[in-house]
Amino acid sequence: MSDVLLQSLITGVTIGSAYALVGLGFAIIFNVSDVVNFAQGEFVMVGAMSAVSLLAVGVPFAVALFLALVIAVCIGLILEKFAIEPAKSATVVSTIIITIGASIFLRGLALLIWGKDFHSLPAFSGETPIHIGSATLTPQSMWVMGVTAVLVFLVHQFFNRTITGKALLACSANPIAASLIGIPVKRMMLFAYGLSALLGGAAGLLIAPIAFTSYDAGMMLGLKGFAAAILGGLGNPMGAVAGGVVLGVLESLGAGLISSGYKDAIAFIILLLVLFFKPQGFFGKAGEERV
Amino acid sequence: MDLFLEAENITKTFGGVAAIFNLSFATRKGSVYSVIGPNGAGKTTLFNLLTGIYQPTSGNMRFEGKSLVGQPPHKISKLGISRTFQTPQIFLNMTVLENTLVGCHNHGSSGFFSGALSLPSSRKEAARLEEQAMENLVFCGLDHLANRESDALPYGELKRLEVARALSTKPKLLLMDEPAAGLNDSETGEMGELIRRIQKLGISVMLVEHNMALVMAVSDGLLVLNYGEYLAEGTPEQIQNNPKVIEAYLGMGDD
Repeated sequence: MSDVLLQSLITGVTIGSAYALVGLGFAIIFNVSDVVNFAQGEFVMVGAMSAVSLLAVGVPFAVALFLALVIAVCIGLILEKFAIEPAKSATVVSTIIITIGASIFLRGLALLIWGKDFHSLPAFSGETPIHIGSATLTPQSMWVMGVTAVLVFLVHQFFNRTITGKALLACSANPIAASLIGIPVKRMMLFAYGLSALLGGAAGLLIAPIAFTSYDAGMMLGLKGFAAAILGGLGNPMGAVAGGVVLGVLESLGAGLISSGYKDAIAFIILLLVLFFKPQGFFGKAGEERV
Repeated sequence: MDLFLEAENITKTFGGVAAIFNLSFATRKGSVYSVIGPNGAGKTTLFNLLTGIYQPTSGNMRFEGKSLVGQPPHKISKLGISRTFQTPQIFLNMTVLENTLVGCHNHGSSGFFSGALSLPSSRKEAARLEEQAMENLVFCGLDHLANRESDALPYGELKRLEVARALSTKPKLLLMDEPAAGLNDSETGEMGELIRRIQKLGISVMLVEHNMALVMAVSDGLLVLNYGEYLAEGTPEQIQNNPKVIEAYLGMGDD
């Protein structure tokens, strides 16, 4: 029994790390513009699928990963520049609908380019697992957790230690006042989308060797990442990270202890419960407006 | 006369209604220049034009010889014009110090990675900017609140925080939109004193204000607007004795 728990914990933290990165992307864009970017999951898919294609045409592994990240970031920048920015006078809800449209578009585009086949990436460094009791920890799991930890640390430092990070937060609080003290709000938005796409793309690359990827892999990952962000309190980047890990662990515990058929259901039941009983999430501040 | 802020025949219409019509004026470096006029005279519209929030329908505006027309707000801020609002526009998701620190945004150069990794160079810079921000808080009498969340501050302190933040952009010209609105008499007195100290720093001030005692006490020059048009310009004494101004404020005696 304890082995099942341990194994679930390892698997859960691994997959939860991917949710955390996606959730972090949600939180960053929400922070800057109050918009929930439902194309977030597509960044994950684009990252993984691009790497698969680059490897297939013989690009060296490390270079392929790097280029795949660049492609994901470009998609993020293009999305902001050509779909979000032109609609800058639209309401938040309209902008959210635009991101849903963009995600359907990107998924369709991926279907045309890559077809319906499932793909996988080779593990970053070997397949020899480490045994802990009867549970196993694969090298790729360690990659996922390690890289996620580093990225989360960097983003945390960025928002808390740098003026550019503060400037990004200022754009979310009051774009007009931000522009009047010299912050280029448009460029900040572009930056936020690029950063979110980078995190999403990285998540895609990290888990592609564990979970298969396909043109529609982004949808489920996007929704799980959204659940993570809600769980942590939308707009709280570190809350989203914690939410992602918690979600991953609960999901894999549920799969291990109850039935793996309920794996996805568990995530969404948690999402619904949080929305019903604690809509501001566990680390979020209740919304209030000062008059 | 040195070129400072000049407006030449600026007009701003909103769907056929002219909020500002054919207005020209110039301000001197180092002065406190106030814009007064009855409600709806176009004073706030003028500030929005000068800071790039609105673009003029026609006319020219120059700051130190550089055209302001067509420039977005963040570029105008870089030219050295900053402003405060009638209702404080504070970043309520940050502390008092952070609000002021963000104003230093243009004076920092460290990028994403050096900042995130907190390399020594960027740490030194962060310390320098924090020191600057702190000086501005001291200047506005807010240093004891530096680490307070800004959404917990009373109104009068939010107004001064906005001034501290604006000063952090190192402006040459500070536009203040009704700094005394909503303040009590003693707070208004403090605000007047703050404006004088800002002037002593060598920063020119342009003021929109309804509190005439404050305006007359701090202004070197006054511009009076009425329905978006130039009505009069002069020193406080000249304006107080100008029959056209008295008429615009009090109405004609015989109707």
